[in-house]
Amino acid sequence: MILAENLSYSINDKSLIKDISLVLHPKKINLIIGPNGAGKSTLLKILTGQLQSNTGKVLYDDKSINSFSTNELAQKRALLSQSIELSFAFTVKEIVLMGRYPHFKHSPTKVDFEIVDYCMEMFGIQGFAERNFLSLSGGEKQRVQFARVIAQIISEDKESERLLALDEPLNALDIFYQLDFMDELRSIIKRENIVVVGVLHDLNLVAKYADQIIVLNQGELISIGSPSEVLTVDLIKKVYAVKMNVHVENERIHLLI
Amino acid sequence: MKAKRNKSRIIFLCLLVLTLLIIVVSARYGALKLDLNTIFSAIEKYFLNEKMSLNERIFFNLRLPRSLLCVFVGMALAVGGTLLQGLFRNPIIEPGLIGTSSGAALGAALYFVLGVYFKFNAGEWTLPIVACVGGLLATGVVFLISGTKSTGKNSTIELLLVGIAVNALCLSGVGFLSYIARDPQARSITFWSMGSLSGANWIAVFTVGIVTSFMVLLALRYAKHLNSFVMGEEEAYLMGINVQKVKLFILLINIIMVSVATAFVGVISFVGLIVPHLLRILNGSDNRYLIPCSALLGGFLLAAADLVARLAVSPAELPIGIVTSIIGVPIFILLLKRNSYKY
Repeated sequence: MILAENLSYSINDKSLIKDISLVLHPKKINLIIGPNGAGKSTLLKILTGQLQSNTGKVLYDDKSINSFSTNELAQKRALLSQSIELSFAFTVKEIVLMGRYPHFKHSPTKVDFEIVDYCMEMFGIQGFAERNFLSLSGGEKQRVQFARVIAQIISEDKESERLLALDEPLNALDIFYQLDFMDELRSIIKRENIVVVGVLHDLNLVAKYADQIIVLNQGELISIGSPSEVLTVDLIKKVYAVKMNVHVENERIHLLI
Repeated sequence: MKAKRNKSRIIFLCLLVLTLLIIVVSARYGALKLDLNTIFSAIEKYFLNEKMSLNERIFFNLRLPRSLLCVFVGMALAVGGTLLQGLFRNPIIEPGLIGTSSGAALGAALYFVLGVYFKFNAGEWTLPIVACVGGLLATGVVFLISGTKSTGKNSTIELLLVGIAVNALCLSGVGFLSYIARDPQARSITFWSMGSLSGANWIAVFTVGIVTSFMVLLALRYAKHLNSFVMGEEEAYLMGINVQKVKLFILLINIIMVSVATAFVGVISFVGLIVPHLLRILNGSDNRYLIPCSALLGGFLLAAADLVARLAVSPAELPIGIVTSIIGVPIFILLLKRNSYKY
């Protein structure tokens, strides 16, 4: 379980996050929504340790995030962001192997290579393992990054709790891969003790895949709960200033502009 | 991946053989051709402590230290280039770009023009010391100016921009000194700015050799860290790298290596730029392969360039910097054009 207690963050007297407390459970997908500038990315960065909150604390399994070294933290959490560009040519397999960097000192072990192969298979990229990453299409690149990030937090100790953060990772992808990714994610958290927390813009994807939705507006926590509790006409109007129709069909929510 | 690692090993071994070969070849040829027997008997007489003939002394006191110095200087420059290109995520970077080599050039120019007024005198060590201090000072200034905002995404770019500015400043200082210099002094500045190995001796070989070998071994420990910089510093942090610490270490390794090498032989351009590229074309950008191989290829190329510099207008010599550029640039452009190589 990952706990965030009374997080606040401000920069130059501008408050980006105001007193936010959250409980995030393993094997659940927690998605943060809100308009641009609501503080979604800031919150995500505080949860991953990239930013230090001014007040409050983040606890991974009852231990403060600050008690881990950079390397220990990297074994426990990974972040997938939207598009990562490389400055030099590396092969797909080399990139996925980078996910194992926090786990070995100088040379990868046999286990590291096994995990790399396992993750490449998971995302169907073993066919171009030896290809130059820079020559891939946007969708292929993102699948490689997905495999790298999963390789980073796969642990032999299935009980240990880990965090996977998603920062709009589906933006460059077509609808097939968007759904494919989210389905893959669901099946991964069935096997691994991973907390997923992420920012997605597409509210329909959020409605379909979130176990818990966190709604932010102007740095404040507006609402938190399951899709059916949170995604209402009133809330969307209040937060996004947009009128949307919400249809509920067989307990599934559909949003229409 | 296994195939790729094997290829790395083969390239490394080939380069090792080539480097050892060039040491012998470049020691044999010059204004005077030495035969192998002279070489063997010189080595034998050294260990037996016997008096050497003239040719044997040419080999032992001039040729051998010179080719060894070439190899070590080439190593320092090429590994420096690999480290800085990786760190700055930028393929057009030379190891001297953060002020190191232009600062050393300014120090050397000061020595040539105003050396007689220096209170400080260390005999034949004066020039290397002054140049080394110049390089370190200029780099220090770059750090001081850019270091104020030492965290965040832009710090690396800022370091680079300040480096380019300080470089320009140092070079205009060198220009000014050449302008006010008398003719022979101005010639010394020019020669030094294009690099010269004619002053090679065993002291230089040991100093540059020990510093460079030690720094290259240290750099190897950071190969993995440097790889993770390829996706940016933010991603490197997320992969468990202590970004600020690693950055500082890599920069220090580079600065120490390059300023010591430059101090003894002057400014030699292009080796640090071209070697990492050639190796990336051959077998990718993994720094665990690039660092050791660039040490060897840098050493080989500089020794080969020095051989050409000595033979081309024998018995006179060309400045080695001219040779590295004349040979290096066309090869470089050819390779870039021929390969579907994306840096």
